[in-house]
Amino acid sequence: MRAVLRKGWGPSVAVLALLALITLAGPWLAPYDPGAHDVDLGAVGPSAQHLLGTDNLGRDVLSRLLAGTRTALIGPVLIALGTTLLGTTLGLLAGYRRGWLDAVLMRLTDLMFALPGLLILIVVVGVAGGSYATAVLALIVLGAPADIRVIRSLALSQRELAYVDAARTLGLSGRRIMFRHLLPNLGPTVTANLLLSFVFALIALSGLSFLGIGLPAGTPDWGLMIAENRTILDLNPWAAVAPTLLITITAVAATILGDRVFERLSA
Amino acid sequence: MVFARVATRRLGAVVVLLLVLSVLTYGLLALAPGGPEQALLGERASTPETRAAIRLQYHLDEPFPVRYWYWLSGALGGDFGNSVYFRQPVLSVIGERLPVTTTLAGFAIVLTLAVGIPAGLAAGLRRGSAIDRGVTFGTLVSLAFPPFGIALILLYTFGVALRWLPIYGSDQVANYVLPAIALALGQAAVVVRQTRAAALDVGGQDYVTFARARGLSRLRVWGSYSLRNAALPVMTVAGLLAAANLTGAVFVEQAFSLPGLGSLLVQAVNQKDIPLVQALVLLGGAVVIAVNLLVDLLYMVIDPRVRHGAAA
Amino acid sequence: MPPKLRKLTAGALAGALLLTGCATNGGAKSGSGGSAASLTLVTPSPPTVLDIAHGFNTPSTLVQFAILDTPVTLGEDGSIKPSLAESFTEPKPGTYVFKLRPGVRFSDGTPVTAEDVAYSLERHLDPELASQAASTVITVKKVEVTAPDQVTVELKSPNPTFLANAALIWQIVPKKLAEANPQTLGTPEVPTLGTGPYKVTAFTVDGVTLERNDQYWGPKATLDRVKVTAIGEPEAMRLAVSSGSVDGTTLIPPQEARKWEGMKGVDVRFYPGNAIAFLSLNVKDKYLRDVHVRRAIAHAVNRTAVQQLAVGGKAAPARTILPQPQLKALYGEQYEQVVAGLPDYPYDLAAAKAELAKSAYPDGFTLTVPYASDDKRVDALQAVAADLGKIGIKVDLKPLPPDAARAQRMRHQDLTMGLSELSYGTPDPGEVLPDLLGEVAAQPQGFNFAQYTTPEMEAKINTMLGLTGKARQDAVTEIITLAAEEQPYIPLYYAQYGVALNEKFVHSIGPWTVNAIGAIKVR
Repeated sequence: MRAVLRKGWGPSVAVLALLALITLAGPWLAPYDPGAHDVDLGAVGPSAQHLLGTDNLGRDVLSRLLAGTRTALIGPVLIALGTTLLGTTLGLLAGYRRGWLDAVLMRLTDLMFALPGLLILIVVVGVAGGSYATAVLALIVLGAPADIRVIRSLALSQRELAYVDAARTLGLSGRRIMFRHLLPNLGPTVTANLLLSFVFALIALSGLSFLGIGLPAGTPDWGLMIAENRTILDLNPWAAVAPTLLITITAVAATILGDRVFERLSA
Repeated sequence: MVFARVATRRLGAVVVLLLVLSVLTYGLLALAPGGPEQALLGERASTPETRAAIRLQYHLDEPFPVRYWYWLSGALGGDFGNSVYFRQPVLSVIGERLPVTTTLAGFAIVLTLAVGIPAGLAAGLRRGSAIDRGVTFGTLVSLAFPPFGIALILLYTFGVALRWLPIYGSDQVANYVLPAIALALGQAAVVVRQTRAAALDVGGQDYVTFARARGLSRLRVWGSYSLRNAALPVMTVAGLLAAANLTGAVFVEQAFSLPGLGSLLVQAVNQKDIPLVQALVLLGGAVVIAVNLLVDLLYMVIDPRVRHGAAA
Repeated sequence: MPPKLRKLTAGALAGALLLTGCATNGGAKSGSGGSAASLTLVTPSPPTVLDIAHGFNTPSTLVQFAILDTPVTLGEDGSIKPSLAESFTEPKPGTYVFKLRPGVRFSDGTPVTAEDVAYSLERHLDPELASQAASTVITVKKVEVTAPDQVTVELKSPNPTFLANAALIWQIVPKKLAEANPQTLGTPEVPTLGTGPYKVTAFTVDGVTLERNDQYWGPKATLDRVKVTAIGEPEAMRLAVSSGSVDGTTLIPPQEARKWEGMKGVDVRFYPGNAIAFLSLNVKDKYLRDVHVRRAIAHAVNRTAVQQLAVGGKAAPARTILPQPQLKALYGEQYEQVVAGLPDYPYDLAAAKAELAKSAYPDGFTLTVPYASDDKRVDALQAVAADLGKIGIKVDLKPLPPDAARAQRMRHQDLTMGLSELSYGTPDPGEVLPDLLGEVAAQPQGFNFAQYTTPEMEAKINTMLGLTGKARQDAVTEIITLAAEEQPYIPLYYAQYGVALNEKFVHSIGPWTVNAIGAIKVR
């Protein structure tokens, strides 16, 4: 256990648990109303009243960070769940059932891999009204092919193993074999995929916020805060630096956790 | 000729792919609210006659399949239309900006490989050592950092505080140093992880143990055997990264005010400059496909197993 | 000048990007050309087309006016002066006769003919050309060559702003060149040909390079070479100027204005723009149709804060919809008394709540306000939203892709409340008032975003247009008093525009400067 701790298991879990807590309780933890503004107190550095200072409109940066945790994390969590669900289900079906479904899915993923991803994302989200929901959907669709490929190749190798043969001989249904017997064996990979998708989505969404695509102005959100507050870097750098650091810390924690879960579960 | 056969088989697929891509993009742009009209009118009052003339000129009132057909028949003849905003042939608009992007992409990929491969090998060579842990953690952080954040830090440190490098401009090599570093940092992390994993994997193979047992030096073993065999996955990743650089260096180009293809795309999307977006997306698709094909062909050169597999 | 929605953004690139810091190393690239007779100006977005028919945007017109002449131009006080025309007369109202200066040549040596001059105006009338300046010449009936050195323009009806518009859009180009390249004139493919003090020598993705035109008929330009290049990121632009790697800009990004002062070796000055920023309230909207609601909003908005956020405080508070230079031109120095006599709605939450209580919606309501996702004034919009929240009006800000937002607004679709800034080129209020309160402008593509039009107002405006002197003053006072009572527009501020130039140069750029590059000289 100590060896695991040294590798960052403990801190990662702690960071993510803390963030989960803030996501649930953020609005109550915030010292101020994240929307309350007072332009006369705008763009001031840290002080006893405002630990991270204020932004251009005089809103409390700390409160906005806490309130923004929800917006910043819910999107990536949805994307991670969506991508993994879609990728795992289709990957299992393709790998276990083979046949036309497999053929169609493989051509489709070929197509997706041949697309310039970021380009498509900007075109789709930028053109189609720039809404947050569009961005989330687009990221799920763009992320799924990689998951489908990975799960399919694992399912392909698993279906030849003895226990699957045994289950088939026992007359179990295909669905039951896939989801009750194959899936648990793919657990480590699925979990690792989930966390990887989360990290990918976190960074991608903050980038879109940065390009002004997605959330309406004024929504407390980490990516948007970086974009909005870069103009006052000379007056209160924390307003832009703090959300940048939070994104990085979250992403590192999730990546480490993904690695460790994979190692432990597959050991 | 195995190569030729693989290449021709792929070519058909490529054509279908690009067609699908062009229909999707065109449809998306055509269906979206807004349109090139506003870009053509400027932000001022306009007369109904002018608007009618524009709608006619750009076929804005015709049904989507007809408009797409106009575009496609032009494109097949090598005419990708005129940019609505720049009023120049799309190809010359792109042509002017292409060197900026290719310089940046080339610079970045060289940096990525020059740093990523040695670091990944060093980590893989001494698994669990301080070097390994340091390198691995470094990759974690640089992967987790938002790309525009890296640009921000570089600009402030080297451009503003230290004043070592010029940051605005696109006509000298020095202009590309910081953008290339910003772009390469996250990508080098991917290459490090890939190289390290490949090295670990190859390191566990019998032939390496055997070579070591024969008394070949560690360096020699790694240099001549492992590197060569670890090259496949690393090359794949490098190819994909190069393609990504050519099509998606948006953040970095924006951050450093580089007039490349990435910032051009953002601008074109905002102006609903349909011919320009269309050409950029197709170019992006073509680059990704070409790189994939190139990597596959290289596979055959490097690894005879793949060649025989393909021939069989 | 025809009004335009001032685009405060770096063109299409705005809203994207990050970062605030890109500077070049001042030492490494000393100045932009070594010699002091060479000037590099930076713009927030690149010049696109060097022809006003298709490049009617600030960075492009900046370059156009350095290379192209107009028959008449604006003097330092906004008055009309002859330029390429040696003189002009108005033999009867609505007909102008321009006598051309003899011996003028284009920069390639070809002489300018009266045909070139006539065609240069006529072309904007052709719908096929789809000129962005078409709406400014809508009253032109006929353009004729009446003698080898004389062009006569006949208007459909007398129009007090025709000459001022002509000073901007009647750019003289060779007929042959313009006819052969209607859609591409002024692009890098066919850089234009003019008679102005400079000529184009390069037009690439890096910007436009101009050199002195030795054929110029007037006093020779003092600068040998001028380069205009774009830096989209405002902070990068500032650092480039402060480090000396470019020589300056005539377009300081308004939101960043506060950062520009106090730079070493750089002269930064602001001058009052002929512009007005306002909140438009669509009087056809379910809630905003109630005058008490509009007055409540006027009381609730903290204009000082809005001004601070929108233009960094580089502005004067506005109490009426006419720009300051126009008020001055019309009333003289006593304009302040006129303005002070107008109904006023000072920032006062109690008064705002009291007004709302008188309306049909005393408990407030929700208003959806669309905006372009690249709008740099979004901070100010947020402040307005928060202010209104305090009296129970909930504002939902809805981001739209920039082109869609602008197209939708010009079509007058889903108009509710909007923050706009209009900037004008003429000292005459004959454009602003019809634009904001007239019937025609309430149609799609007009600027009457409040949709406020009544037969009474329409009659007042039409009468005013035909008056002069004291009668005109009184008529305008009546109109702006009515507008203040009704509050279809809440006047916000008069923005000042900033010029930053390396101390090696001096300039005389003011509200009426047409050729800004020409107004810059070596110190």
